[in-house]
Amino acid sequence: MSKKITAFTPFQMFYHKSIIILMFFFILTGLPILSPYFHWIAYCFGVPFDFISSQNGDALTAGIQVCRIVHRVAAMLFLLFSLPFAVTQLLQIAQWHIWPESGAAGIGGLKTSYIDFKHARQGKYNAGQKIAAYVFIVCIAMLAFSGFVLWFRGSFSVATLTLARTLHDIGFALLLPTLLGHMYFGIHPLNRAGFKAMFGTGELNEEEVKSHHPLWYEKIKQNEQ
Amino acid sequence: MSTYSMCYDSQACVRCFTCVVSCSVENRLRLQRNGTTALENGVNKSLPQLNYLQPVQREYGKYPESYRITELHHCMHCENSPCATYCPSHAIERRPGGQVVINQDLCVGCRTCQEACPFDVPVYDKATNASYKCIMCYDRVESDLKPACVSSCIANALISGTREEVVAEAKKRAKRYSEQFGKEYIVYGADKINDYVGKTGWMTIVAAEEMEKYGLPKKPVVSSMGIRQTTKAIGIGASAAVALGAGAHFLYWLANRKEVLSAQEKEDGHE
Repeated sequence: MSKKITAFTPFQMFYHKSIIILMFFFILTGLPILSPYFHWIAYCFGVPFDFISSQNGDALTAGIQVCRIVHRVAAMLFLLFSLPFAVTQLLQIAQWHIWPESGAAGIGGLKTSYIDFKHARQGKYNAGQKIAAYVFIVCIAMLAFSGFVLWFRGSFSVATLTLARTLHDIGFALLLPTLLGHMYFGIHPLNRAGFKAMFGTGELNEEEVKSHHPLWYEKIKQNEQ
Repeated sequence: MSTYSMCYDSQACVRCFTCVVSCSVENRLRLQRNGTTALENGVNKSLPQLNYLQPVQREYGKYPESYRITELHHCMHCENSPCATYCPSHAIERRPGGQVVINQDLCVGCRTCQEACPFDVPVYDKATNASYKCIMCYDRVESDLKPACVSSCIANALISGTREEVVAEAKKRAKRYSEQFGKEYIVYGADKINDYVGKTGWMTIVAAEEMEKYGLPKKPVVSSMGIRQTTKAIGIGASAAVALGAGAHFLYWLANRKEVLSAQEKEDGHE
């Protein structure tokens, strides 16, 4: 048995899973409000809701209303999970692996990893993952704060509401493509070990870390000494 | 049915505000007609969202040379009606006569119309979770009656009819005022104002130099709506590009998979 290295704590894994589920609902219920092209999603909610509640109203209106409520319920759960997560993570901000590292391959390393399929010299995360992390942190913060204003829009001026809507849109427009990229590389067979670590035990084999994440491995060895 | 239009003549208006009162009364009667509530309730409650016409008084200049201008604040019934364009639940429609109408039964109370409106017109009511604004008495007009405000105007300062009639009369009056007072009078909304609103169904005769003081902006536009549409388009486009890129990369990986695996085996063998 080879030595195991902890990549993710159980809390990180739990938070990641809950965010996946919440993101699914956030996006699903946000799209019909984003654009009429996604009104069909609202109808998927509205037609059964209208039937069950015997409202005999308009399916689109009912659907949009259901979407808004689900979006807010997801927001409450997001707040519930994110506050403790943000606090525990911020306390160890110096140990985050997303900060620039000297000796890392950088953007060029992405070509080595994903075009040449060789091991680039990198830490726990490559340049692409780091950029994605920055985008996630900034965009999710933007979405959360502007979402708060949008929820309680009656207490704010129309100008603030407009600013919040614009930030909510910009945040989502940046988040969605990054999220798709993150999902693709996350489930790609190249990332099998990382995927298993995130959704399984949270651990990686020492050999895997040594070959795929040499900078991280060196750091671990240094800390051990 | 040709487009039905209205015009407010700020020069002829005597500021008696009978129009404001009759609008409010008509809307309370409308509640009863629609079966929404009993007449007593409609009269007893203040229901400020039903006052579709609001006189907004502002003071300009420094005392003693200061003067007051009362703007008649109301929906312009824009040709391009951005409120209807951006309403996510399709609660705002343009009637065949051109009246822009909010259907409160379909309104989800998101207040997008408030944001989209460059004239700051729709009013949100918390009790009914819906937005309200002038409907140009489309129900009366479609029954061959004049809008309530027009029928009650004592000074003939509110006129209505087919667009051609109203524009002709309004332009005639504006020309006469221009000659009489020696400054230019315009009919706001008779011609296309900009791409955002187009022409307006409710026009205003006003001195050109005072139009903004009457709440009639030269460029009525909410630029953030355009920015947001562009942002959304970029977001969806970028997502599609990422999805396509991911698909292409996966095919590329599949094509090179065997070589990669054998190379890795070799590498592992060395270790």
